This record gives sequence, structure tokens and C-alpha cells, in this order.
Amino acid sequence: MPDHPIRQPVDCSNESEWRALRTNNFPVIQACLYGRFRQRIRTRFSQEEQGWFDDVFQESLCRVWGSVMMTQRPEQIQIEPYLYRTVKNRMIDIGRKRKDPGAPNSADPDPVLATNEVPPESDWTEILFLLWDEIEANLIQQLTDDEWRILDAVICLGLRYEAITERKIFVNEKGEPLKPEYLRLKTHRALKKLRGLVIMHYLDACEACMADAVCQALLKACYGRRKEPEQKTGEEQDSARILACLLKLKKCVLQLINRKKT
Amino acid sequence: MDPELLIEDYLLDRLPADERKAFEAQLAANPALADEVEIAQAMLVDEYLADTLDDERRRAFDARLDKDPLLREELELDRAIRFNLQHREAYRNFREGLREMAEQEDVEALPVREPENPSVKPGPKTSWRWAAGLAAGLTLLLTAWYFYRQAYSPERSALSQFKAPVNQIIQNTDITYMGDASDKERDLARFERLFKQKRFADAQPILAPYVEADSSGQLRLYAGICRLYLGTLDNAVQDFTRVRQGNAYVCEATLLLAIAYAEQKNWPQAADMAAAVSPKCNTAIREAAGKLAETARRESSRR
Repeated sequence: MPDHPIRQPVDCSNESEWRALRTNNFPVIQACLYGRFRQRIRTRFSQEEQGWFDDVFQESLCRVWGSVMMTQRPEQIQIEPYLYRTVKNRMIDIGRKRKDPGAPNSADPDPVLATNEVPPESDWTEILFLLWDEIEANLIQQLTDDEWRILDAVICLGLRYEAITERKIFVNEKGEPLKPEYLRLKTHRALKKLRGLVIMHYLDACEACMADAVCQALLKACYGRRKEPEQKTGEEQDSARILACLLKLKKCVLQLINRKKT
Repeated sequence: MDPELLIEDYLLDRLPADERKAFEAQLAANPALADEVEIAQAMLVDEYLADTLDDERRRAFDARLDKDPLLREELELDRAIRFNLQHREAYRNFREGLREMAEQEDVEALPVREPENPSVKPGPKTSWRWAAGLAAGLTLLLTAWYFYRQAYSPERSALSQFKAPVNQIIQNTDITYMGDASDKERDLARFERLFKQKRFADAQPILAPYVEADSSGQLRLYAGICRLYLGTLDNAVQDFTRVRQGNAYVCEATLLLAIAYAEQKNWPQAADMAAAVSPKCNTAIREAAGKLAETARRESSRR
């Protein structure tokens, strides 16, 4: 069906590339980033590095896509310099690992996460973005149908609570549509459960790294199924300890990402 | 004191210590009040994450988060979960698009010019030119063959008969934006011009920022058409599905959804969707839907 989509010269400005990535405008992505820019930067790598250049480029472009989606305006990110730095860091890492399998990665603890171009709010967002595909199915499976339906409607499809009520997508036992405020509550409770599931998942996956029985017990008590986060004691000291454990878990997840990359 | 204000003051940590204690005691004893507080907190968090809190409330909420870094961390985690859920489909489409780009490159056998290796002596000039000419010719032939296969395979051309109502929708585009935001007005006028010229790759990015806010579904319908023509079919399906959930443009969206499914070779879905076109829709849409349903049913049974 496409009638030769690109007949006009393609605009490869930062703004155009930003918009193209945000809207999955493949003709522009292909012409500007995958075509022109990739060809331009690949000449900066040695013959030997060409062997893994394409894989690294694709992986880096996926990361840049995530970062672009985290921004609100094109000027918040310089796509080509950021993409180049991401590719370069990964190429250096891989080259180093090939020469010396025991070598640590270039930057601490993840070259991409440590670059200045990553927006400040990207902490957990960027970490989960790198891992979401492999955990999503498992997480969703643990939600009830009702919980997943509300998250799907509100967050995935972007429906407003009022629209969900109007369309009677959720009804009570009497067949009456649920009110918007109750739908909001349902969404937040489902999200909270998902938050707990994410934490529990990585508590298991990072068992060796989280070799701290106190932290394990504290996070399980706080976010595990046995207890709702709201029911935590509220004591400042407890809160500080839970936070410390959560930050430790975050570091462990970063290590997990690094291990997977190598 | 207005209970709503009291709840907000509680959530924004603006109550004096003794009032806070008294309120927490009430909360423990009154589940209905606890629900109200939870709803108010959910609303506050939604507005905070969407960056729609007014300055004063944002400052107050930030101050509360400064005092409660655990809550800040939890909100960051929630934001991450929302982000990934919100973009899961688009990210899948993006990776699929990347994969297709890589495959396309293989099909076209585009040679990548490696940096010249100085240790290798270049051969005689004439032989290099001859080889380069041959490679360029082959590349051209392969590229032409690839585009011919993409655009004019028998299954694709079978769909060309359904373009008529789509063209009609495109040519009837009339975006009348009545607001006073001149940037938006200018953008939409520019979009309309490019869209009617079928310059979809250029038109689509102009429209993108306005689609979410348009509750009528009109802009999403046009975005879907752009994607349909640009071949990002999963996104087009998503767009038309959402337009169908609204009250306007249901006829157009249903037919377009059927066409998108047909483009995906998802013939059973195409047949179902074409059959779902309402008898109340205009003749052109109904006729196209009828033909499409027939084709789709035939293809389904053939496969």
C-alpha cells in the first residue's frame, strides 16, 4: 500500500529525528539514523570492530529511543551525539572484554546510565526500560484480570477515568458503571501491586548480590504479598532502612544489567 | 474546616503536629475516610507525575518528598512502571521496525563501504572502476526488485481497489481548529496540506503532538492513515481501534482497520472488521467494506 513514502528530501535535524523516534516514523529513522548516521560513524571503528558494530548500533538506538520517550521537548536531548557516545562506550566495552574477559566495564556502573545526556528522571525508568521485555509477561501474569484491565485501559490505552465510566467498561455487581474516583483508586492499587511484584522479582533475581538478610526481610515485609506498603510502621528509622535497602536493590539490578551485557 | 482541604493539608504535610495526630486517629477509625484520603493521594500523585500541579501545591508536595525520600523512590519506581506500560506497544513496533530495516538491508544487499585498509595495495584504477560500476548496477537492480516486490506484489495490488474511500477521506480532510493558539493552527494547516499531497512521512510528525489531546478522534484517524501508508501497521491498527472506541469517525475507522488487517495479511480479522461496518455508513464505505469482506473471506479459506 505505501505509495513510495519518501519522495521529498528528509529533514535530519535533531527535532525531526526526535519526532521520528517518538512517532516510530521509520522512513525518517531509516534515512537519517539507520542510514546516513550509522554509515557515517561506522567508519570511525576498526575492521575488527565492524564485526559487532551493527548489533551495538541497534542496541544503542533502542536505548536512545527510550531516552527520547522520556523527554518532553527535542532540545532536552541531542540525539546523534548521544547515540554516538552510547555506541562508542559499548564498542570500547566489548573490545576490552574480548581482549581480557575479566576486565571491568568502562564506566560506573553502566556507561549509558552514567552519561550526562540521560535525563535526570531516568533512574528507575531507564533501568526498567532495559529489562521490561523479559519481566513483563511474568509480572502481568501475577495480576488479576481486573487489575490488568484497568492498567491496560488507563495507562496502555490512555483512556480517561471519565471515559471508562461513560463506556461502562467496569461495572459493579448491580451493573452500574464504576465512578471515576474509584477507577483511580483501582489503578493506583494495581500499580502498587505491580511495584511490589517488581521489587520481589529482583529480590529473587539478585539474591547473591543482596546477601543481606535484614534487607531481604525488610523489603519482603514491606512490598511482599503478606503486607501492603501502606501498613509499614511509618517510623522514620524504618523508612530510612527500607530506603537504604531499596537503593541497594537498585544497585544490584544495575549489576545484573552489566552482567547480561557481557 | 472543609474535609477536602483537610485531606489535602494532611497529604501535603501542612497540618501542625497535634492536628496531624488527631487526623491519623480518625483515619484509623474510619475506613471511608481512609478511602477518601487514598483517592486524594492517588489524584495528587497522578497530577505530580503528569506535571500538572500548580506551583504552590508542587512546592508543597516536593517538600513532603524531601522529608520522605522513600516515598520519592517509590514514586520513581511507579513512574518507571507507568512509562514501560505506556510505551510497551510502541517499543515493540520500534524494534520490529529496526529488524525490518536490517532485513531490508540484507535483501537489498547494500554494500557497506569499509574504510580502506592501507596495508592492502589498491589494484589498477580501471579494474576498480569496472567493479564499482558492476556493484552499483547490481545494487540498483536489487533495490528496484525489492521495491517492486514491496509495492506491487499481487496481494498488495488486490487491495488497491479499497484505496478509493481512503483517498476520499484524505481529500475531504478539513481540520478547523477554533482555538487561539496560532502555532497549533499553523501546524494543522501545514499538516492538512502535506496530508492531501500524500506526503505522509512529512505530515505525520507535525500531527503527532496534537493527537492525544484531540478527544474527537479525528486527528488520530489521520495519524492512523499516515501510518497505514507508511507501513507501520501495528500502530495504525492501534490508532483505528482507539478511534472506533469513540463516537465519531467510527465508519471510517472500521473500514481502515479492516484495510490495515488486510495489509497485515490478517485475513480473518480483516473479514470480521469489514463485516462490522454499519449499514448506517456512507455508500462508498459500505461498498468498499463489502468487497473487502469478500476478498478477506476468500483469502482466509484459501490459506
